[in-house]
Amino acid sequence: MVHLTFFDPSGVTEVTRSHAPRLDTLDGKRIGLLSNDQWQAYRTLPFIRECLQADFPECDVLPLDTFPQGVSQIASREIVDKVKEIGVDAVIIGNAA
Amino acid sequence: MEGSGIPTVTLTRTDFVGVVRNALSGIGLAPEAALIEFPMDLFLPGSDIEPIRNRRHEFYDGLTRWKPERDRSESTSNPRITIEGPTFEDALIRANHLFIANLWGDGLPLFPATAERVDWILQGATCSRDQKIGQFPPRGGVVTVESCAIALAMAGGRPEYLPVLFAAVAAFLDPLSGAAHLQAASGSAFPVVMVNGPITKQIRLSSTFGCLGPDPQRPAGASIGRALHLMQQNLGGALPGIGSMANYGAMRYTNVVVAEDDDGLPEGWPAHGTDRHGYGPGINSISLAFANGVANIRRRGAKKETPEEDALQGMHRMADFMRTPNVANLVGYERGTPGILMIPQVVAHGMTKMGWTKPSMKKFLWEHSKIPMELMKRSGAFSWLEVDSDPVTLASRDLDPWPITAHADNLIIFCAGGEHPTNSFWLQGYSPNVLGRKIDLPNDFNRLIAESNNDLGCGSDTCRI
Repeated sequence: MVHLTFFDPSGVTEVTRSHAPRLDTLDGKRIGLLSNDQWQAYRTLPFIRECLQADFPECDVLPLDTFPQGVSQIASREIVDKVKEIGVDAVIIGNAA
Repeated sequence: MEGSGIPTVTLTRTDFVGVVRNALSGIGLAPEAALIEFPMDLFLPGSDIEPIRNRRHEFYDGLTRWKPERDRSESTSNPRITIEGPTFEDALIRANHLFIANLWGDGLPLFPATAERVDWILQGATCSRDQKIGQFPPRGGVVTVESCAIALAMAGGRPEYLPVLFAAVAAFLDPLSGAAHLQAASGSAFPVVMVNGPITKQIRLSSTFGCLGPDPQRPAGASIGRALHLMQQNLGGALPGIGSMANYGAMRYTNVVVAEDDDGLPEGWPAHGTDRHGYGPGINSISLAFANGVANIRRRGAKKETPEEDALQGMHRMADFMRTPNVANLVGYERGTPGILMIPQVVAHGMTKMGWTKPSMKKFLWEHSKIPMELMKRSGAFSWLEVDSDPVTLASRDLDPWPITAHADNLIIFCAGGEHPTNSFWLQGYSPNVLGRKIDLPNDFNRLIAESNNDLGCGSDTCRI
């Protein structure tokens, strides 16, 4: 038998940061909606807001226009700072398509 | 957002999951994420969004119960694989089957990157094999000198090609290149590596007839460009329809790696590396831009034009070609390029004799490729101006006619294509910036060239079939 040993070309990736810990419940939490303003996000995100408000009346789901909208806008450091500043506990992002 | 401690859920199209995972991996997070996937139908105008209600608990779970599969890296060494077969040929075929099955190939036969072959390629390195250069966007595969050698070994490369690939990768990994976005986006961008300096002749990189295609006398560009593509795919995650949404993906087998005809430039005509990046004459350098379209332009006249008429008509024909309300050039409107105009050196000489210069040609093409705002509005291109986040691009909506780029100097004129005056070639720009890098050579580079001549026969410029 001939053995051919070679490098795996996909190499390695480094996991250096952790995902955020999840919430214990949505009740009483403040949820933000971040829109890239593409792919019908102007319809889908408000719809999700309606669902959340119906299922979790104690949950504060911020309106879509709370944050700037657009691909480059929602990826900015300023958005992260604003999310923290106004006490948002979790975020729903759309639409990645 | 996740990295800042805010749990997130992302609503995404099913086929877009790979892009999202690459993006997460690229910023050091585990590639899994709380993603709620739907087919494309949901994301189209007038779609039925009621299915979201039926799956709303997945959004809630994503914020409260979801967990990644792994939390930290396990190894930083390039892993190895062993294949066996009754003969070497059989093992080689099995290895190529594995490349396809594991989504590591490009559909054409590849050399397995054995330790022996990678060590041979590394003779072209100027630093240690383990030196980390960066992470390949958007997936974030770790890039070392060895990673470049692995890709080049697979692509049929040689040690003397490594300095060019290394410089191209260094430019590619510069965040200013925009590669992280361009690799994943639908616009089908491909890298264009323009090379200047004596290294082009030494390693047999073409600047002449057929310089964008296969050439057995000048094979370097195909291997270097193919290696870069393998890195884009295997380390960067740019798999068609999974990590890259490029609708068409033209030129992605080998990208474009091409030399300028430095020796054939007219007196006073600056080489591209000098003109764009300020490198002195004779300096080995690369210049990286992205393009997403290729087209031949028949430049020469058909009848009994005078040289002056022929030149002017050709200039108008090239400008007319550029004057289209295609929004591709918005990507690099201020600092990038609307495109790379390749002209044969014989045309550059003819233009020079009639008093044209490289800057005056750029100015003419810029002035005559401006688009009436009426056409921008009719085609909807104006809307893309209105939503652009770059202030210079946004402000350009007040210009009528609208220049296809902010400055004439953004246009690249590149001399290549052989000694024939009929055609020029337009690589449509899609490039936020145009980045230059000097090429560093190993101390014994001349030995590598001598070995290359021994392996491949006499050099391309003395050996004409």
